[in-house]
Amino acid sequence: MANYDVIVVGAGHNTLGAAAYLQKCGLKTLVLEKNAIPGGGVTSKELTLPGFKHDTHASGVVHLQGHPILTADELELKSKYGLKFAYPEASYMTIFADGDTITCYADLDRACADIARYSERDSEAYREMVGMMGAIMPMINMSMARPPLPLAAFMGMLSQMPGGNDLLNTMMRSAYDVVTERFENEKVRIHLLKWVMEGLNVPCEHKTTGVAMLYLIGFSHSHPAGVPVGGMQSLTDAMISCIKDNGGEIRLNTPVKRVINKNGVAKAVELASGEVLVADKAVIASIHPHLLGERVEGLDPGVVARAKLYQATDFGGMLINCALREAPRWTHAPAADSCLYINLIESSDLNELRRYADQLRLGELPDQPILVASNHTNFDPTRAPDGHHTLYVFSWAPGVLADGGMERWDDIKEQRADEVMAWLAKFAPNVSGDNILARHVDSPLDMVRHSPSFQRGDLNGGAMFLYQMMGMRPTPELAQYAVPGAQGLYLSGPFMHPGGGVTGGGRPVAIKVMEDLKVDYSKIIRS
Amino acid sequence: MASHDVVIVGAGHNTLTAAAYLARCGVSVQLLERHDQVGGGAVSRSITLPGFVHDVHATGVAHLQAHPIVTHDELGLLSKYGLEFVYPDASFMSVFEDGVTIGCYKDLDRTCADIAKISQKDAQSYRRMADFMAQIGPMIGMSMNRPPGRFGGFVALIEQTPFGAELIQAMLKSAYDVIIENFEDPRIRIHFLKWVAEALCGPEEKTTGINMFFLIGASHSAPAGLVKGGTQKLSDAMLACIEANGGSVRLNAPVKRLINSGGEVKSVELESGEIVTAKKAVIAAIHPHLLDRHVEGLDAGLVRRARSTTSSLFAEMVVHGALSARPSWKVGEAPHTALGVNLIGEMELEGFRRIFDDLRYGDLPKDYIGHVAVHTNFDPSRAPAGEHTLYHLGLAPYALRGGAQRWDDLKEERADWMMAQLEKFAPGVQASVKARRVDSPLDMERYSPSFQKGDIMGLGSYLYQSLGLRPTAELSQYAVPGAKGLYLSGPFMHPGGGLTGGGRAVAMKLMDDAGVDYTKVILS
Repeated sequence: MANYDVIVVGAGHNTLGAAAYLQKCGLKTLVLEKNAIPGGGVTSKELTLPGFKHDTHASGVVHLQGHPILTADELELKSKYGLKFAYPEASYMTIFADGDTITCYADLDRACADIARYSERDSEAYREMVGMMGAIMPMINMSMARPPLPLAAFMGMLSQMPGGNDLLNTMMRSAYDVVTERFENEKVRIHLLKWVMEGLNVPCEHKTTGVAMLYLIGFSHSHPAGVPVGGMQSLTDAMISCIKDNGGEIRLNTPVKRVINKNGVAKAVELASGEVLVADKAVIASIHPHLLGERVEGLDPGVVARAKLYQATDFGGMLINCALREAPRWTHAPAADSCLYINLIESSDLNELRRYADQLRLGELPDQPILVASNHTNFDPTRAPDGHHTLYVFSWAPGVLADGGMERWDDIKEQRADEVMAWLAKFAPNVSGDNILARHVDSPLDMVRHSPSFQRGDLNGGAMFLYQMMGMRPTPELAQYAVPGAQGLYLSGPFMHPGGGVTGGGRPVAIKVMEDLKVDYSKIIRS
Repeated sequence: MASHDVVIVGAGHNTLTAAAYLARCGVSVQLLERHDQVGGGAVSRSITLPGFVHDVHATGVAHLQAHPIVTHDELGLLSKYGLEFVYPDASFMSVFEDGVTIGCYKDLDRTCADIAKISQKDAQSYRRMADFMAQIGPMIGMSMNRPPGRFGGFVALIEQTPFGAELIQAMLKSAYDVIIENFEDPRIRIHFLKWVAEALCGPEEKTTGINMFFLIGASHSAPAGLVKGGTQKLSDAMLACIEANGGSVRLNAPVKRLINSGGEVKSVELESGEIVTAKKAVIAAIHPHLLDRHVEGLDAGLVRRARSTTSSLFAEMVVHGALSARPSWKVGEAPHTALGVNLIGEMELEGFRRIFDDLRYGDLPKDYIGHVAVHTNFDPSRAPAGEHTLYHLGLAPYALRGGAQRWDDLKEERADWMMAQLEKFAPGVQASVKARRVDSPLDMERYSPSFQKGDIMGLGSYLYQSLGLRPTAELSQYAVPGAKGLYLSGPFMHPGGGLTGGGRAVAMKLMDDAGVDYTKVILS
């Protein structure tokens, strides 16, 4: 008789979410984590100096704002386990080198007014797109929090709805098509397209990215982004409190070597130490599709081969976390102090942004850094000692460099970070010299070392192309979380529906597991 | 007083097809064509020297080979109206600058053997894809020749077939994705990437991946042929069919607008001021970008959605040559067995990808990939004895940086560059050119308003502009909401650009609406 109903491999955002739901519904769970700190992509550490808390990967919580974890507090993270958010007035802004800014305030009228400074017509187009999404946001939120629908069925359903063909068409176009068709002002176009690229980590000219433009715009006003007080780690810690409080266990520093698949049943894991742990009912594991064949033996070679074809994004990025003596002063842009994601771009020529995207697609570093910065201490002063600040600088970069592959990152990351910081200082001159008390640089290679879910430096765990979404993520046969030929094994991670980011993706896995096990979850999961 | 049941604006390939089907089914038709010759994109003219017959636009007939026009001779074009095809051994062949050649033959085994010379594994992949297409080919073929089903329904149907999920993924992926996944040799990859680029979509553009499957399927089930005497003979055969069945065409009769009277369209106004009225319906080749210019009183949302349809990523320019001698290929005789020869300058895969980036920005590519056809290899009637025609295509942006108008100044110079590149593959070819004619993407747009932005496919062949979404969902059934009696026909409608016999579906729709029985003519 095993001591646990379910063993969960990996304590990342998705797997922890799954464990928390299962445990709350009465299944005894054990979570195994290779790192000393739980959270996967949702962690904060004192990377620079004591007292400075830095988000090491994900930063800011967007998708989850429309998820029952927060909207219905299903896991009591807010009411019982101390999770609190600060909500900036604006989620996203662009600062151009000439001093122009465009700011996406949570308040729609204010956001439209800001765009109207550049183009009345664009402001109206923006409002129209928010309206297009307004009607279907509840459906989208629900579809993200449950196991995925078959993609074709979803498309078929959409094409039957009023206005659905227009949405279907927009889903399959590129964000570039959608934006250049609907918006006329070059700066507004850059502002919007850069946002899509940041959200998806793919060039905005790829067809099927149009849906992301709609989603981002719709989401910003229905569910504006928040910052967990105390750092992203607070979200992870709240989930862990929920698991433990309900009787679950977590073992850190416990790498798992493989899932044991015996006669088509996978309910045990072997640790790197050699120890074997057995679950009574199921194993949930965060195994990237590219690693499936290595970590689970005895699978059908076709299943493994198709999982290997799962595509990573064109680019990820390099993260520089800084401890600052004083807050950045953004030239010309005081609005930046009330905005979560501050984007900097030198040129007002859309073709230059396209060129950088081409460079990333071909595995080159863009000629000019493209970056997003967040000054979290503006909204959450607890993250730094009195009066001091943190700065989070994420600049886009290919995970796999055409010249030198991933390995080369160790050689170039500090030098590239110098370039990025020098360039950033053009927009905030005081982010330089002894105002930078310390910094820490993570390259795409460092990120893979931290988590194998980030294969090839892809922080979404695989590209968010339409053919890798919903019932096709990561492949059609793996999309329902169960693994054919390994009964009892379920996959969880950013490479599964609903995808990368802080999405509460463990909930659909838990639903699937409990449906298979005939566990009644209706008291906890209500929708 | 109306003298015909149906008035048809434009005598291009699609509208001619529609007219021929209607006429054969007993519906009287009147075609109005602004040029002095029928055919639209399916025309041949002596544009270089007397005695040399050049296909001005479309050349090589692929899709139609699997269409009931050919398979069932529904219009009698083959049995009665003089249409004849010649079929080259190979539909196309890639020739690399270093002398490697790879052919695509009608015969699957021979094709696989040619690929296997370079990669055994790639030959296996090719065979797997061809076998797969052989299974679903008939379903796809039938969907091409009828009015399109609802997009969502079609996708759901595909999902139910064996390999359905793989096919849907391929539909949403890029051809590049599909090719990189299935083939490993760098040359084989470029060989196929160039092939799919003939649809004028960038190989890396998502939602075009299915094209690779379609091409493979078509190549071995219904390989391309060449019309004896020139593509014009296809149009002429259609006209003969129309006239034999009581229809007629008026040439040099440009139409100014369609008259929308109280939500009904039954008349058109010619540029001369004359009004021509139909008893039942009007079929018109009106590109979605021009819809509101030619038809007044339409819903503003419908017009906006029609205008927002996207053109292909790039266009083509073509150099027609009258040659005193057959090109002498450096690699020997093999290219003379292929209908089309793709020429690949010295480049790696990355350089190949950059060509399409150049095109996206409106730049002329710095590296050369060309497509050459010497039609006289298969049809000597197209040139004086011992002489030859040259059809030389190059990829070109329509919207050049600085504007499409620049084409008039640039095209001859660009043609010189193309010919100098060709010289590397066929030494002496430049000296053999007795005369030439160069058409830029801008020239193509001027020639036919269906080729907006120089796009000879009418509109980009993207999934969101396919089937029941081409050109937009509400226009995809050929009828125009708010303009009863009006039907659209052209490359911008399902099934799309090229010689597809696309008018058949329009005729079926019209006859379904008008209660005309067509079961004696349209057999499937």
